[in-house]
Amino acid sequence: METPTGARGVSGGFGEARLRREPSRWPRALGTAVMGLLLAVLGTTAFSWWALGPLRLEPIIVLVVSAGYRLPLVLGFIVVMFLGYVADLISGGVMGLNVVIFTIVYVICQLARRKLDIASWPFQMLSVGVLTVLAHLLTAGAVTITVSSYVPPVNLPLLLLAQALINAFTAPLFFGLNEALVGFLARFWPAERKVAP
Amino acid sequence: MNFFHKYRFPIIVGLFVLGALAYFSFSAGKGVERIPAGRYLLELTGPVQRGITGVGDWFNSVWRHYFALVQAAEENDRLKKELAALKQRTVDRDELELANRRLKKLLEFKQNLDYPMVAAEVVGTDPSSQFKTVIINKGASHGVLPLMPVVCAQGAVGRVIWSSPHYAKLLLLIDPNSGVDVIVQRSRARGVVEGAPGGELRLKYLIHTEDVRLGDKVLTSGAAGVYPKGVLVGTVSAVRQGQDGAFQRVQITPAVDFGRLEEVLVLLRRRQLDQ
Repeated sequence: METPTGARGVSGGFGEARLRREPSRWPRALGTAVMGLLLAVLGTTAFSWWALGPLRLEPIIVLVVSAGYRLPLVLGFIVVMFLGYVADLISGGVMGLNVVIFTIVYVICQLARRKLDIASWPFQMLSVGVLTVLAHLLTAGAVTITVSSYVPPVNLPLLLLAQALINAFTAPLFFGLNEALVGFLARFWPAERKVAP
Repeated sequence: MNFFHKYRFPIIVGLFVLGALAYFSFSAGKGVERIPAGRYLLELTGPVQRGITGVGDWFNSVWRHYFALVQAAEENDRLKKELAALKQRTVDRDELELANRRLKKLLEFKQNLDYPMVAAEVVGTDPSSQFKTVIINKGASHGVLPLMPVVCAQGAVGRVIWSSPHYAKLLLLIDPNSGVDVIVQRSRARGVVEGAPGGELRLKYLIHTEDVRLGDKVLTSGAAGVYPKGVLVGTVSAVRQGQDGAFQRVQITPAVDFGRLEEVLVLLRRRQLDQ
């Protein structure tokens, strides 16, 4: 469970050996955290310029899903809570909300990785789409509980569906960017360099 | 030991989930301004946000004023360059004039309000669709602290909920977590304005007998201690009699265009809450 190699790939199977060596946990954790910080900053600036009304790119959820499938349990929790903290810092007035929601999404991914892996991009899209809906429902639920006067918009299901589609279709891009950064960091990681051919 | 190994996953998951919930409950109870860590993270991200916003503005300017011009013109290179340069200067002058007008309005507004205040620029907007916050380029080192009211020339904007030394996060009026004590200017009826879906505002706790009409201006009452009295909040855009109680349902169009918020004024006054 601590390593992602034991999971069953949707596109592969039990017998399929990985041709490419997975980067170790530390470059992945660091890369995911750095990418989270970077995407959080872009989320408040560049991504908001391309927003379609209330719909916008939400790449941090992709990182949470990636951490859930690829990072060891404890280290992943720390990274995901950091991502939630960063998201709370830049978004909304309820501190700690994203920490809780990201933690829940992360636990679901940790449970799912026992049977599945997100090596294939259709499954990346599916995971991110479904978990986006869950994350937004949790957010709406939490805001409804904490702010008594809050009434969710009537078109919430439609907005959720549209946001899930946007996140799902952009998921492979952000997965790819994260993997590129992780791979880049792994090249300079001492332990990785020692075992590299 | 065996027990821990056997139940390692649920134990760790349980601990972290409880930790997250405890943090949430701690933060909600204490208020965001009292979470000290993170303000330095905001200091780290603030300059990057500012830089990206600057680059974006530059690209936007280039796209609108330069490329469009170049594509439209079919003259020789020298004339094109001259024309582009002249147009750019005109645009720059227009931009300066517009900025001048905005700042003049802001200055007039500032002179009308008898409070010390600091002007700030919006450098980042909330990336989520459910919350409405922005980040400005002034922070604690400029005297900007949580709970301080924020206004612009058009009216009330929101309040500071978080500040680092050089940046601060504002909760806009249109956020569902926001609440302002207000009065209807014409009838002096009193209520509370909160954020509503679609970037509108909702006037609550206005009983049936109160007189409120379409087009009425709604101002801050000054009662809650955050905003000074008389700052414009918005205009009544719909009035409905509620079916479920004694209150009217009043919708307000904000005076401020939150989609085009560029410069704001932070009033350096702070409600004294129980610390």
